[in-house]
Amino acid sequence: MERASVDEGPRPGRVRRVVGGIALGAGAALAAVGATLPVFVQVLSFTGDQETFTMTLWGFESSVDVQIDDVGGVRYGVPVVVAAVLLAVSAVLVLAAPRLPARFAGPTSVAAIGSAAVLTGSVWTVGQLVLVASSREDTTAVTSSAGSGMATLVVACVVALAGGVLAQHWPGQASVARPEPTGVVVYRLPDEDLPEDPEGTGGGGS
Amino acid sequence: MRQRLGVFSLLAGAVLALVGSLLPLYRQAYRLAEQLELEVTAWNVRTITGPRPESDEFRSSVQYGVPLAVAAALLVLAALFLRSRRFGAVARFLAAGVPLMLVGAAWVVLQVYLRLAEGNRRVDPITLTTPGLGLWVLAVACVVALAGGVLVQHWPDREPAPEPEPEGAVVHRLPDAEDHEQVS
Repeated sequence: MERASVDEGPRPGRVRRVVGGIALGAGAALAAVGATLPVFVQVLSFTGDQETFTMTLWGFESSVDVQIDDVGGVRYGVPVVVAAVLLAVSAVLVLAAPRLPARFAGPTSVAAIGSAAVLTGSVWTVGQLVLVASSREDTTAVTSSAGSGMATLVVACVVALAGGVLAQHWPGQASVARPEPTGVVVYRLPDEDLPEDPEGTGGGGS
Repeated sequence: MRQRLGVFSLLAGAVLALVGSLLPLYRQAYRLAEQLELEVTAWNVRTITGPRPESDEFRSSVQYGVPLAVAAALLVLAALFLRSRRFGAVARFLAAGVPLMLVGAAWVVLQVYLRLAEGNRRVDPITLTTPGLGLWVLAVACVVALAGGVLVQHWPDREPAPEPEPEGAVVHRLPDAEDHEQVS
């Protein structure tokens, strides 16, 4: 209740800022979830048995117990996770903006768009990897496709970028305070004494 | 001055990103019966030694260059529109974001290289991966573009506060030789 009186009230910037902060937070959560889901799925069905081979941002997995000849060291998720952490921090900064000193405003806007941009750059490049892996010619026995993680990460990018845009102080919007009206307050009262027809066409017969 | 340096850095970052994408990111030498050495850029793979496919250059399996080129184009747009009254705010927004998009893209490329380089540590490595000049140029592009993005922002507290207008009567102190002698 106290907050409502302190807050900047119904200024248009407030709703936009809160929605932006929530979007940044949602982008962080989606990116974190997407980083654990498979970004690429390949279904092999050679001998009737279906074998699923998936790739996450941290390595390869197979549905059957086979030794995957891989050097390991897949850590494509590092920039994605870092971006998610940065997004969470910017979400907090954006949502807490009215309680922070004014000098935080500039860095907060930059953090909001910057963290969304790190996510976009890294997810896009991971997308290039997945695009190639899933566009290899499929045979009847092999079907390759992007996994649910990739879709989640793309949605995370869109949501985070939207949050980054909303959290900006665009000139002419939130930064410009509405001018206080000055001068004498004049109320116009309904006046029934005035003739309905000021031209006097009714009474001007003579 | 700061603004001009920022614009220059943004443009230099764009050029470096493009140059980096054209230079080899890493080289791979396969230790098979037949010698095979590959050079991978963000756009294609080139055979240095060994059996060649139909042509000397073939498309890289992964087109890392696409996000890099888009980032470079956006950096140029940001630099061009910074002075515009109408799009200045959008340009500063891009200048803040796009360098970090470049960082994100280059970072994943670095992770791919690091993963391949891990193969070098095998007891009997099949491939030997070495970094190329492109990786370094991309790293420099990120730093330069980030510096440019920071320089062109309007930081309210760093802008010089207007000097307070002097108030009151103007008093000039004139050299007074006699006074001086009396004091000493």
